[in-house]
Amino acid sequence: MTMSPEYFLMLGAVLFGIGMVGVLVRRNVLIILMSIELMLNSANLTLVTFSRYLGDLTGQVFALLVMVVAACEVAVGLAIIIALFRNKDTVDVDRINIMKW
Amino acid sequence: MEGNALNLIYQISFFGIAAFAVVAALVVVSAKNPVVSAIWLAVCFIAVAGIYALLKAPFLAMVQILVYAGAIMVLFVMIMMLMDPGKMEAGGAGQKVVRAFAAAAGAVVTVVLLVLASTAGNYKWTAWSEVPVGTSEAIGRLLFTRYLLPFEVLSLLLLAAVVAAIYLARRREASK
Repeated sequence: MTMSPEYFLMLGAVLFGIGMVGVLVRRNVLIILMSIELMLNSANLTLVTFSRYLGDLTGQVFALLVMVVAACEVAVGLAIIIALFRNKDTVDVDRINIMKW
Repeated sequence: MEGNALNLIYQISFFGIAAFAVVAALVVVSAKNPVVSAIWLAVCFIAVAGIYALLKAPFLAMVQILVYAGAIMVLFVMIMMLMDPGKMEAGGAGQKVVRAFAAAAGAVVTVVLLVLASTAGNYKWTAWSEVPVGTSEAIGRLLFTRYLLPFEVLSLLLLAAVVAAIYLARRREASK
């Protein structure tokens, strides 16, 4: 299929930008974590795109490894959110500021 | 002639799935209720799995659906079910200026990445027929030979994540 790689890379860029805006603008810690997943996903998309356009499977192997890291990150992140929610009774990051001075 | 028709189908499916993914991602970051975000995030992940299938990566497409749209989304929704629904939508107003600057920064990064991506057409890339298919056999072979060390390191990371998640989420009262 003769399709230029820039469309795939642009899709990755747009998804990354949306995720980044989500992380920076939203104040709900659950949605921030989901936006981080979105950014990891767009990085994966770029890896797989280059894997196809360079004719090398290494990109796909690394996308697989990134997925494992993302799963670990979600598990630990959600455990932290549970612990925070138990202590502070909120998911608003503006009210989770005990580490600030 | 037949090749042209196939090409057209390929391009239409790419742009269709890509539009779906972008719309789903926009809903994820703009929804007020995190449960709505989670459902649309699953939609976005499935759309990206479709893109993987278009990029000759069928194994990765299936893993994407199983791990992301399956396991990770179930984890998200399960954690939300543990919370008080009224307190889940917190995080609204306040710090308008900071958020405006944050949105502008995101827009700048997106534009820079788009400009970088648009230069990719200038290079010579491998033709479709010469690209190896990312089957489970081919990826497993690479994973257990050339990339054995990162694979083993990741198993250690998974163990650490399991221990950390249990430690963080356990009840504190029991230890007092």
